[in-house]
Amino acid sequence: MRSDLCLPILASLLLPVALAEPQSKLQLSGFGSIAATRTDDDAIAFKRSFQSRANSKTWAFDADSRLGLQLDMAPSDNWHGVLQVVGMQREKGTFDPTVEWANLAWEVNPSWRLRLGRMVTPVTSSSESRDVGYAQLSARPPLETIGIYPMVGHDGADIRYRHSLGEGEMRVQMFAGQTRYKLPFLAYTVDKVYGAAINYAVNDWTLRYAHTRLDDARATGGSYVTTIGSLLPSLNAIAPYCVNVECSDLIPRINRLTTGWGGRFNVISLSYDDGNWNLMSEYATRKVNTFISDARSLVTQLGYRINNFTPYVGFNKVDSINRQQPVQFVVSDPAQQANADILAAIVSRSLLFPQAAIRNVIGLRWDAHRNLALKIQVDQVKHKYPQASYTGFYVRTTAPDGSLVPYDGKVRVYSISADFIF
Amino acid sequence: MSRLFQLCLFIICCLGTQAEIVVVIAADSPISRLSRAQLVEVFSGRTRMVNGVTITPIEYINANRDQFYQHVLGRTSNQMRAAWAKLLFTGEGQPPREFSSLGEARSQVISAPGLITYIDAQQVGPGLKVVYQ
Repeated sequence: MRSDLCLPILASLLLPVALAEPQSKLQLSGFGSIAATRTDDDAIAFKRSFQSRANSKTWAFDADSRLGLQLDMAPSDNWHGVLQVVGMQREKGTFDPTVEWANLAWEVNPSWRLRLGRMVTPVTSSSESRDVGYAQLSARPPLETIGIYPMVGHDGADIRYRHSLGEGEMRVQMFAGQTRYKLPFLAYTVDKVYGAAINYAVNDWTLRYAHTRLDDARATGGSYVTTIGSLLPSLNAIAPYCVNVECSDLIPRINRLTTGWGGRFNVISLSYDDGNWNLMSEYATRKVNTFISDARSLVTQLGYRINNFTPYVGFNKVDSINRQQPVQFVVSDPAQQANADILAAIVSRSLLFPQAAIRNVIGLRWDAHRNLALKIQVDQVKHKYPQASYTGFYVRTTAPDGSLVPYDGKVRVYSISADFIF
Repeated sequence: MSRLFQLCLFIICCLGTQAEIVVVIAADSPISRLSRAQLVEVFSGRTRMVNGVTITPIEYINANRDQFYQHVLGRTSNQMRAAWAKLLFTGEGQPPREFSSLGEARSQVISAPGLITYIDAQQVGPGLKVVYQ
């Protein structure tokens, strides 16, 4: 089903049921964050990867502020519908609402649940609650693991199975669907999103593993596609003469961005919460067959509650497994080598963005009032490749002459937020 | 002096005594005991099945929430609300349903298998079984 048709059809299915049935339960609730961020360096700005506007050394509310509204419908004990709209700064740089969740769930029995519609893909342990600041200990979910997956949700179905195992409960969730996604420089259509998540919760501990796959992902628009479209004829012209692996491997990968690429994402998480101590650790890997780098990331966060205050610290790391260095194309035809060198330089500068970084975090959550949490957080980030032109969460700023402002690879991000639910 | 001391001790003891909270389920439930950790899992919505039996927590207006959350679950009300927010806004569940009175909650627990709630130990009556105290 096309994703733009899915929502109106689902809404038309849900609303008449909810309105016609006398015992229907409708419930409106919401969440939000009023959050200000800034960096300590004019050379580098911070944003979420899907946002257009980044902000450097002045306080701004662009990155983490959001508002979510949710309508829950329970026409009977076994059926439940949810519609959630979240507004925040997105790829155009404006505060836009998007339907994040719109699905109908059928509890077949206490063990089995079938869900149909739009849902957030459960790639990491915090993917599904990423927008709900109040539900998180820190100012924002761990970007290193969430950021390893380039999309957010999918339109499709999932099946969840619960089972008692020992003293705890095991949950298995299998999902499949398709999605569209927009970044400031790229628009994607993905024909196949599928995977499974296994969760085991026992005695304050939760162990989770999720495997997610993307197939037939195609870039359909954006400045990236324009850049690549202008490069591909020249790249494909030298492809038959490639001698080294970088050349023969990378050119087909660049072609796949628009013809169809795939990716595999593995995430294992362990968390502990005894009411006072709160630990979360997660390891994620990404393997793709386009030119975007393969990556691995590790996040660890530890908090300790003292009445209504919970100070926390975090250690986070992300590494690009490949694409760290500028590429070189070696070709068998000497007449083509000069052209190959120019193309390799353009590809290195325009398409390859190594994301290796270490981020140490210190922060404080204060549950100041019922349904309101105030947070202050400092992130100390060290980038391994400061000369790179970053496009994800950290963006190099440009001088009036268009050149990149020199960056020493170290930046602090300060955050103050008020997270609430209603 | 001795009587005055005993009187003071009695008053202090009375002031310091809090009603004992117990967790109850229908008397015919196959569940006979729940651990504190299992209660945390169930009331925070992370688990709905214990030993193969579906368990659904409920609450009621004027329930002694703070005492139950703090002294039994080891959580604050804020922590419980954060856990429920995660469930609610990911479509995974709802906070415990709240009934209008203790009496109604008791009736529901007695008549609906799998419902559990917490009450003062002195309020346990016929049809209810204590699974945690």
